[in-house]
Amino acid sequence: MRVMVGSWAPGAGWDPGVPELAAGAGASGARTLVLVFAESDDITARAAIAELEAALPRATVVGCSSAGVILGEGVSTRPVVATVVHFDRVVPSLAWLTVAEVGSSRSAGEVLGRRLAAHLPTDRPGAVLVLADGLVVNGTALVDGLTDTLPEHVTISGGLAGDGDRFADTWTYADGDAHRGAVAAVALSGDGLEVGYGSSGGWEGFGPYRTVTGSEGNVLHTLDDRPALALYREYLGDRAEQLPASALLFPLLIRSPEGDVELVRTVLGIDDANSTMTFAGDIPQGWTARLMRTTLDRLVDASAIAAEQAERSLSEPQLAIAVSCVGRRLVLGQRVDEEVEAAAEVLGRQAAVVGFYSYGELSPGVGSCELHNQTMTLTTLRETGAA
Amino acid sequence: MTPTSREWHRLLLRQLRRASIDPAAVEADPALGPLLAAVSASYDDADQYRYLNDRAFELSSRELLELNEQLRAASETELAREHARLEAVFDSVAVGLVVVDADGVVLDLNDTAREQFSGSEHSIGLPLTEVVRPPSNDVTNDRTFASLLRAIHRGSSWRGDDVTIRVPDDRTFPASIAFSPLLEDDRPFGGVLAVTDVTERHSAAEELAYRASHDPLTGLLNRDALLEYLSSALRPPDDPASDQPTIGVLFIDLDRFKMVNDTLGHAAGDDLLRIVVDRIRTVMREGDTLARLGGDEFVILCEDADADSAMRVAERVAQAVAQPVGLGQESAFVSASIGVTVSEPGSDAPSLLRDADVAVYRAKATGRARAVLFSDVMRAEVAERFRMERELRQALDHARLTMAYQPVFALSSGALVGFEALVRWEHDGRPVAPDTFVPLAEDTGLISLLGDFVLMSAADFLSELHDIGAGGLSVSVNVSPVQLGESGLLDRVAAVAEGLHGRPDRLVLEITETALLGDPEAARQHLEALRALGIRIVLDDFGTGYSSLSTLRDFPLDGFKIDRAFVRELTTNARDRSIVTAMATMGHALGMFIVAEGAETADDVAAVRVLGCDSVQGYALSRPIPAEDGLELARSHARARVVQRPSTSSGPVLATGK
Repeated sequence: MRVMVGSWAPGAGWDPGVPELAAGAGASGARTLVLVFAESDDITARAAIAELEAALPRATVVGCSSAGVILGEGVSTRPVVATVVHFDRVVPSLAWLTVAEVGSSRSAGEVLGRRLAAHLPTDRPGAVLVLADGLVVNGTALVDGLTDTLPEHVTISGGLAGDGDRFADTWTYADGDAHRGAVAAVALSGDGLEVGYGSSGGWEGFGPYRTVTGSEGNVLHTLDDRPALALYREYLGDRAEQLPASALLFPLLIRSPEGDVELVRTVLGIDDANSTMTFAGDIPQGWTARLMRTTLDRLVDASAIAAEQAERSLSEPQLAIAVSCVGRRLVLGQRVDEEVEAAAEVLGRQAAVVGFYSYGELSPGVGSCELHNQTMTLTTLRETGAA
Repeated sequence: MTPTSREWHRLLLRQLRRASIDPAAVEADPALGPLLAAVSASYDDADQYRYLNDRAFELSSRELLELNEQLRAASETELAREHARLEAVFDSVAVGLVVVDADGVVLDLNDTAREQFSGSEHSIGLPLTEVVRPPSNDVTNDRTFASLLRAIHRGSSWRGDDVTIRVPDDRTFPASIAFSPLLEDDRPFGGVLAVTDVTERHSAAEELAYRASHDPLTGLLNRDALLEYLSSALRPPDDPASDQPTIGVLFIDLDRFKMVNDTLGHAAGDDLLRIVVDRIRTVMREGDTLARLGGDEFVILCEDADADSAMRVAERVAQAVAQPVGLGQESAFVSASIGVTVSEPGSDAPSLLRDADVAVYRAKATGRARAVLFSDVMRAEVAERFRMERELRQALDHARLTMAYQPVFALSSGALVGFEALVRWEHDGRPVAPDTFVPLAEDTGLISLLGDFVLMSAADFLSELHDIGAGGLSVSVNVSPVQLGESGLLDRVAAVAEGLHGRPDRLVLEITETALLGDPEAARQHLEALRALGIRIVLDDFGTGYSSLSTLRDFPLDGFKIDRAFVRELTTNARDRSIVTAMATMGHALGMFIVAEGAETADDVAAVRVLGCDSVQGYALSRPIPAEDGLELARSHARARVVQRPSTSSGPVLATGK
């Protein structure tokens, strides 16, 4: 397995150039996976991706818009980053579809899972990388659909596409074009493929415990019979003008009545007319909710912890795909590079670190894959033994 | 969008001014411009970060404070309510509750406890032992309280169902006490004492126990209680070396009490019993126990008494009881027959009572109004009596009794007029006197069977007499007082009378005066019913015992028999002659016939003839003879009568005699 990373900027084009990036592909070129992450507002990015794809006609090329592109030891100053992975034996398989409405998220996961299951061995580890639309798709439901249909030992990871701090328009690149509302999933399997993962948040609850008194799916109405949006406005003060992005500063920690499940939920959008807030996952009624906050140091430490988890599950990886939450980027501001740095230091210089700031992270939690919010999530890969 | 230098952070702008750098000038610098813009953005980030943190801190603090206030207010209200509820419950329970700490110091009392322990108003803060104490000098309760205090200290549950407690005003009452400890992490910190006053339960239980063990009339111990008491007194001492004390048992039976009851009424009888009990009490020794077994029977237990001292008590009782008893206008005379026995090692209560009862029997048999000490001889006699009873029963069952008939002759003509039927029992080859076995039969209930046997035998004999042409002769049968009261007698006599071929007067029943004394009215009715059958009734043994003239007047009698005691002395005693003359004259005046019995010599026969008796029986004329001989005698007299023309002017002549 050989990894080539290139970046693109308007006017400047690819660096290194397309021929160099494409050079490592084998005879067929089918064992090549290209991951492209882009800042969503650069409309020219699509053309750059198409240029690269033209040079690697048989490679699997997927990508998505983001709230920032991770490269090496920080956030890329260039808006598009491509990671070209030439596998020795692994053949990537792509399945993708578009989700018309949020209610179809689970069945979308099931359809993709069934399609990819055919390409995955039942007796060896495999991995599925998922890049999904960040605004239309309900990440929780999508993950449920995937885990129900994919073999148990397959590691599912990835993230929801972002749109900076605008929450207006996200896209997923698959099958030669960028699509709104699309989910692309790539199955990786083959002898010698090893997969690791890690995930950590660094947030902590504060203030009173509240009860979710009104909600539908991932739309929250009231906490303690009081509009949740009003509560956020009060806490954000001046920053309420920047809703919904500023709500990322106060994610919600929700806990089941039995106390056995605890999840972090991050805001995707608000509806002023109805005084509701939309989150990246479900907020069930009757659960306990608590505002969360963090400090810069805790975020950076959490990133290192995620890397340590990944390192423990797979040492000396060749590629690390980092998916971090847009909320973290908002808090970290100019110091956002520090969390990437902290992870990269743990993973070692041999690992190429690429990734993006997302609207939701997918990675195994305690057991199977879960949708996370406000975390740094790492998926690490290594392919041992040459073909 | 990159801010212009004018929008840079105020702190950065001030710093630049202080350094005499024009922001607008450096903004354009391709290296410094972006750098300063980034520094400005960092300052803004830090401000925002601080702003949000401060705000979050302030808001959440306020929210938590408000929540805290709400919770506190709610919990204070709830606590106040809870406290009021508990207080109401605490004070409304009918059980006294005392809250103590682990050292037994009183922390609280409920209303019931305050009432129970009147005088305990200031007891909060005092040790429990100053509020609730055992009675002074009560070792058992001292131990109980010590165990309660240990339980409080250890924090273990405790219960005492019958504890006598003393409260601050020195009242004592029985209580049941339960202690429930309060524990915190298994460490005791006091508890609650529940005190229930069981005075009422106690008195109810005592009342029941009293009723079960005492005679309601006199308040004395009853038979059961006496037996229990005597049994426990007889129990061997715990220390085998010490001597078992002897106990004197005095069994007192009042003589003639039934007569008082019958003549003066039961209320007077009850009064008499109470007076007698008081008298007995005054002559008992201190520590002796008096019990009433029922009716007119009492027992005194004299503990630590030998035979002499027990007999002394018995003599005093006999004397005390024998004094006349005033009952309103009347005076009653009763006496006491007393049987005395003394325990020996191994004696048991029922046996002692039985022995004393045997001695009473002896006292009565030897003249009443006396005390008799039980002896082994009596025991042997009792055993003998039992044996006799058994054998009499067997004799009856196996027809081993025989009949004899003593002829009765008319004094005017010398003609045979009838027979007295007499039962004979030979026991161990010797005849047993009727005086012995008839009372035995009466005492043991065999008299019915015996009476039936005699009556049926007499009926057979009457029938045989009729068959040989001696159908004019009568047969008399003795009826005991016990028999007279039996319901079956009338039917059996009626059956016999029925078979006498139109001459029921041939059957004569002899009764003694004592049979008429117990319940005179009932006796009169019995006699009238019998006489209505056509049979005749004579009074036996007239002239001895009570021999009241009113008996002759009040009862339906056909005649009487002059007791042999008078007949025997007639030839030598002028006074007896006068009495017999008077009796005969009186009898004839009342339309009765008079039979003289026990004429042993020809002179006796001559005397009773001269004195006016109608007929006679006795050894001078004939001993009692077997039925066969009686029939033969009747035949020969019938032949003689044909030759001599018997006299009929003096009416029928009866046979009697023993």
